[in-house]
Amino acid sequence: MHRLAHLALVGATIGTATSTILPWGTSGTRTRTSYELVGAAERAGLLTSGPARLAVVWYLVPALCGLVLLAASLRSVRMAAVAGGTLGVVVATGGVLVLRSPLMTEPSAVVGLGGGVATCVAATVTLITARRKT
Amino acid sequence: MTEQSGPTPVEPDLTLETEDQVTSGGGIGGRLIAGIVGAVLLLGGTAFAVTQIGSSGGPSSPEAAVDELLEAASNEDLLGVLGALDPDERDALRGPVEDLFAELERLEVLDASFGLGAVAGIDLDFADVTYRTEPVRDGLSRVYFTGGTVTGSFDSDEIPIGDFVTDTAERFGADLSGVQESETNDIEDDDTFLAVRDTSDGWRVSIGYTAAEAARIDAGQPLPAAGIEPIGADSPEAAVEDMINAATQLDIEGVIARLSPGEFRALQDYSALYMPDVDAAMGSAPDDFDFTIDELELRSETDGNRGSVFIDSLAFSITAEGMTVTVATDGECVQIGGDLGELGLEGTPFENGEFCADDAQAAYDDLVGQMGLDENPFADFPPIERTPELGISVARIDGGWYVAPIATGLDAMVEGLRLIDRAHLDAVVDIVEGFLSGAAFTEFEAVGDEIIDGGFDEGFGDDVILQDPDDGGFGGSIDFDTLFELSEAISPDADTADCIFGQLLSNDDLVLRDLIDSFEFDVEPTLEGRAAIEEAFEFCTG
Repeated sequence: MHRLAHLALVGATIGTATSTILPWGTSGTRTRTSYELVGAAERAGLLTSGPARLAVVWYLVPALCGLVLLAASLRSVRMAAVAGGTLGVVVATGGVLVLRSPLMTEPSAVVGLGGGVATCVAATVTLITARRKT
Repeated sequence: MTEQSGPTPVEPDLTLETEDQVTSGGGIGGRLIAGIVGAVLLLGGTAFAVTQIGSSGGPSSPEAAVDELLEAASNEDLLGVLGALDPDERDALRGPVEDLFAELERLEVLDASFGLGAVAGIDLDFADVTYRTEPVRDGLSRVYFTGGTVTGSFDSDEIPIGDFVTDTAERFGADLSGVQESETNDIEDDDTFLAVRDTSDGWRVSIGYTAAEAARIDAGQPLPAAGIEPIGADSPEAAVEDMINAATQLDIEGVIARLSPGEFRALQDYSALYMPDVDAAMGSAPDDFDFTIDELELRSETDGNRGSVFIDSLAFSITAEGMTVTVATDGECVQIGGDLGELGLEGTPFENGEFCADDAQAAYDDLVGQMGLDENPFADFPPIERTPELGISVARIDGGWYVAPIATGLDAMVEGLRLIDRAHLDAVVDIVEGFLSGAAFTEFEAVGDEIIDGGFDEGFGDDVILQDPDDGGFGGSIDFDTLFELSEAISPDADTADCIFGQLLSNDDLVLRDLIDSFEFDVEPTLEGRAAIEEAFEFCTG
């Protein structure tokens, strides 16, 4: 069970991170990846108030993905789970926000949302099973 | 690390000290690859994050800024258009404009599909656009269009108009569907330009500076050396109070300094172009001019960098040319005192020195009576449930609060729209429909019958229509042939008709157009028109 959760965490992390470099939203006829969307929203002044400022953590998604892989390769399960869980929360939240936005959303945003949730679940299960195993 | 190939690794003993380290069961090769990929991603991702956070990567040149705007417009990309505009100007107007569109969607004037996602139905396509850039000063340039093409397309089936508009069009027999137009034009090198400003995050197109530069060039003025430095206040209330105090002292420079730079930065920068004229005008104020604020109570509501300041009570007095007038309001009533006799308030709602919200209905009824209507055309209008709360909009920029007049106007419009719903709009259409059918003006017919003899009725029917400027109404030329036919209709005698025609010509164009339209469309003229006919008829027939 623990190994399965661990594998699921790594797989979900890779899938989730991959979805973020695919098209997430369309304004008019212009389609943007998740990173382009954050940049465009930032330049359009849509991320200047309150919690919206946290959107810049989106740029940490590739680094978080790398951290999960590195931690997993070093068998540091807790670190991998925490980093994966963080990544999952960030991407799932971003997915929800994009789906609720007035933009036309692309399938990758739905994949990102699902992947983020799956990553969170995998990270949680990994943490629980790792603790049981100890 | 996810592979299972190779010899099974020996699982280490797990203790409480090493609980983080558990075996994945993966091969060393897989783990190595995952580790390398992870390390590269971690380092590269960190570098990516560092370069992206805090820099949204605005255009690096004036031409790039204009190019970005045109590309976004061509793609119907509202998000891109917003990003290409001067951030101060955009932020100043974005909130009120968003509120306005939200209300228009609620009222079903616009369709809910209108938004950042797409503005369907209207397409602009810029192709092969070339530019010429002229620096104005450091951080400000004019980008001239020198060539290319622009194609504009319109498709009424796609445009996001709401049910109210389509329903209303149907009521008047108009069909909005199937209208498709497209036109391509060459962009001429005719000194059309956009002003582009270097913000802290790249070059952006500035509407304000474009207007200011166009006005400056048109006036043949040199670039002003220095402008008015904006003065921000510590609080929304202080921003409004400081501006009012500056206004009472006729300190126009102080007033302009307290305007939101988001809306009026160009006006502040280019003040040297117009301040001499303003100062001259202020210098002509009476020597005894005095404007004193006796009482001012303000309160504010803020939402982020936007806010509204409400005047709970205000009292002031103005003295000029020996006359003093005092005005006080507590939000419910307005009292006017002082030398009222000089003001000529007789017959106005203020003739008793006080006008309260409760008096509004009586004043409206009086107005209806003065218009000669025996019934209120708005009698069937659904009740408005609450009194609008109008405030002065303020904006916070770089920590200081400023008065935002354009946002104030837009917010007032939004507040007005929030008071009504679709039923109110439909009621307005009912009233317009009533005007068009003459139902609301039936009493005019009786008045007309009393003052005009039988000759009048030969030319005119019983209805009243609204004048259409395109059909010779306001702004159109005078159709003298029709006017002469009208004169002949009033009197079959040629000499009398000539006389009436000559007399009618002594009236102003507005009256003449009314008479011509009324005769042409077989409807009742206005009271002024009928009076003109009566005078001409009496003059010519003795």
